[in-house]
Amino acid sequence: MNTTEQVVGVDDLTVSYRTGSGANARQVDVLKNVSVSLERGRVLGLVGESGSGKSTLAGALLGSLRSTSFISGGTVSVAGNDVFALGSAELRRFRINEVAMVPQNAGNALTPTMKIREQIAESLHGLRGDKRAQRERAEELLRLVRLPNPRAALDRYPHQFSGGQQQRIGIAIALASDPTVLVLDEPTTGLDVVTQAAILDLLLDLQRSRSMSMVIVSHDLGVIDKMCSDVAVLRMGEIVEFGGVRQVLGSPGHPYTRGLIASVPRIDRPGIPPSLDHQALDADAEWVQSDEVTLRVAPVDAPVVLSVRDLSVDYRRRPVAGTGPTVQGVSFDVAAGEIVALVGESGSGKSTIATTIAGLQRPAAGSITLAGAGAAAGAGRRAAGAGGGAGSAARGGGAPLAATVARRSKAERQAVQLIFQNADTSLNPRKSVEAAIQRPIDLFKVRGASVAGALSDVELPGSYSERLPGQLSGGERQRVGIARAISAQPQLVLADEIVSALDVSVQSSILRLVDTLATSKQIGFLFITHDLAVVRAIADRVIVLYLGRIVEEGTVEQIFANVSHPYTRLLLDAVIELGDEHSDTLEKVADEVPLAPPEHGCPFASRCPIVRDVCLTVTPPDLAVSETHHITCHATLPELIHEPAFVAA
Amino acid sequence: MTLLIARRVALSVVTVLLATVLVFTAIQLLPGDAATQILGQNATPDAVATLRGQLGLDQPAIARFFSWLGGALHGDFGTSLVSHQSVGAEVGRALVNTSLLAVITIVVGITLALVLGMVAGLLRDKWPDVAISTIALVGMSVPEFVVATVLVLLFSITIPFFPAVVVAGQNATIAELLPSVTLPAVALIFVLSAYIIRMMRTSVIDVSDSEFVRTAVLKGNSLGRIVFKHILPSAMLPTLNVIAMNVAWLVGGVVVVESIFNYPGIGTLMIQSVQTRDLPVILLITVLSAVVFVVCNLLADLISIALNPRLRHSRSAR
Repeated sequence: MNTTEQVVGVDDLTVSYRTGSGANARQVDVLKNVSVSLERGRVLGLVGESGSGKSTLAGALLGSLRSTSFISGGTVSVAGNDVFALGSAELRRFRINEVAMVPQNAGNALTPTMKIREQIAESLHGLRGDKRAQRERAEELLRLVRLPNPRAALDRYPHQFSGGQQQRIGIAIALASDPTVLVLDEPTTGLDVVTQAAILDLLLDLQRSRSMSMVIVSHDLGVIDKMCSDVAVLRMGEIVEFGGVRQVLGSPGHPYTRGLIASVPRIDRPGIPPSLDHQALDADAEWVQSDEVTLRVAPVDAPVVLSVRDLSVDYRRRPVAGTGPTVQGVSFDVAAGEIVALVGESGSGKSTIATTIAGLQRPAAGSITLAGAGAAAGAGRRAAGAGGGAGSAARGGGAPLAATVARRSKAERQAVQLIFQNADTSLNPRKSVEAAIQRPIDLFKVRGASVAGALSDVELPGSYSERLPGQLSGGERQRVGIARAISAQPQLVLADEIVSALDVSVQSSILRLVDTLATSKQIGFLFITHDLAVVRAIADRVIVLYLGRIVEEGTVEQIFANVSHPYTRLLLDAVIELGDEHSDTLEKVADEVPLAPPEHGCPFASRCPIVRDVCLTVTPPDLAVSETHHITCHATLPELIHEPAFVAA
Repeated sequence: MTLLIARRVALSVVTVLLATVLVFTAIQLLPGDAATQILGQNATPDAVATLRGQLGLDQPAIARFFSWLGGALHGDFGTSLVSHQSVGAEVGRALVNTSLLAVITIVVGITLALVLGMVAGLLRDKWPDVAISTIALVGMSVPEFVVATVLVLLFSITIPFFPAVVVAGQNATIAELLPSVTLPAVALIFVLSAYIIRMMRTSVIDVSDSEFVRTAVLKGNSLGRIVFKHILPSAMLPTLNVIAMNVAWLVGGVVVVESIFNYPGIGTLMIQSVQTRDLPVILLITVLSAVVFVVCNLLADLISIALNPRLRHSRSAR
């Protein structure tokens, strides 16, 4: 591409909204004096933490602001149009001809009451009125984004597709108008790594073949690094750094960029990365982020607190031919002070297993045993490992938990606590922090526990006890969620995707907290996540799930080393990290997970590159690589050896 | 989908039957039976016993219920204790008159309410919204008999344009009734549409704020297409149930408004029958209101299924 025509020019843009009224009225700037530009055929990344204004900037490129916001300075020009000077008819024409947007969450961005065909046809302005041509073109677009069975998809409604498929449809709709500039707002956030890799490869293909210009908004530095030629780093509405992607991310000039890069966990580097210190950054512009990681130390010979044996869960109301139960034959242990990661794509059954352990879902078969449960509440919990209370001694030191939480004793309920993904929706917005933490202490009559103690355990000031959840930041809310769980003095904490909604720097501070609490309080953590880099940072042992079956289990080093189940390997290959070559695209594997696990054989058979006949009929055996490393596969050990995807630092 | 609809319809029939049982039981529990009603307080026990035998009241309640139900299925709802005419015919005449009022109210009222609610929602916080919302709020707060009385005061007494009461009796023809329908219909529309307007407004605002409407705008769609294809179907869903509730409410509202205007419909007949203790008439009218309630909700469910693909394809694909 040797044209250097500028297609996007944002010049000194300031976007503001007014807040308060009367004497308190003030103007808040969402974007401050932002200038970026993009040449035709290039890809611009907008990166920053939540609240940095990156989505506002993306919306401004289409002439769209929140209803309360307004332009208080500067201009936006896209493909020769001064966007905010356009009249409403011209703005419509501009949106039809020049720009298109792939919204963040295609599931919410597709109109639920309209068929896919109609929603694509809306953007096929050249074919207006010609139903048949529209249909053909729509089908072609769906084929282009590799949607399975595109012809049938046309007459379906959005809710009939999975999240990844909806995202593909969103991209197909945006491509339909053949835009000069394609704006993508977090195009792969919330998708599984394999789906993410497939969609990004697809976008890059399309961008190159059509020499389209793209603007990608993301908080994921790996995605930006792979996709973009230029990058603008935003912080609190200002651009702190703007330039070529390799230069900005490879040798960042601004301390914020450096800090941001350092706080990203990586699968090729063990340990929890440092957090961005915003206060230090504000105080000293030359402040340098240390890149010292916190290395997690696994407990040695700790007593087992949770044993799950042959657990099966079945959501089917009646047997469906060819499919098996949702979760089948799952067995694992969690020791005191140990962090066990449960990893898998959406639909792999990780949350189902956690809710079953919590007693919120009835298992179809199998047992869940909690060591020392039934011991007197509060007192002697620590001693339970040695002998257990009177109640548990009678049951041989460990008690199989009742299937439902209603039939469990108070002590059993106290021993298992949950932390949820969205702290903002799991805390009652009308109850103070104190009330949230005090509740389990009162309920279980926990001795020696206090709200102040719990707050200090999660490194929050004691004055926070008076606050309501709405007065806390996302990271602080998650700390309150953790404080609420540990104030019950549990033996086991089920942490379901507790960092996936947080910015990377907040994420690493929560990870450090979990590390500290597990070790100091000897709490076993079942840590559920889809993010392999987080697993690498925090886990002692890892269980890889696929369609409700364990495919691999081992210590964190073993999982990330060079002998892997083909599925684990696929996951590792699909991870996009900052500084990779990004040259090789993912091998063309089927990136859609089947809707239900098969009745017989290996669950991964339909996608496995080394599948053989036996995989379709016989349940794969346990292949012990070492005493602690097990792979469930029909293949021989040599077949499972691969180049270590990432060389340990 | 056919199965789904069949199930809803079957459920509705069961609901109506249960309602009938309840109403029948309630009437049995009223102090004194039809025989004492007819003969009066001072009747001799012998006379009462004879009449009870004639009316079949000496049989157990369950037997009477089934004989009533059996008759009802053949269109025989018994005989009025007062006029000694067929209850079916008497109620039928009143029902026709009420239907005239109800159909006008429903057609005009719902259309008006949906349009106003949509306009208010789309022009949120602008003057049309403020005006419409205020009027709707008044409609919600003022009871229908006040609205009816004020209307009579304004348009029959101050400006004598519409008749204040209907002079035609129970046997009036539709042509005779038409001029006097206006005021009762306006009174009912006013109250009926208030809730629907508020619901439609809220619902349109909710949907307009959604991500898919923003996407539709960013695609460069025309305003008409955005409103009618993207916003309206989703905004109608929560409104439908409110419409069903309010149409069903009409049955109650009609009693009050009809009696104010002396309109010869179900409401007036109901009040007369209560005053004269005409139990078979009361029974039929109460059962009819239950049927209206159930049918309204059934229709709302069926329209929801038509509008919402998620309900239609509940078990497919995923």
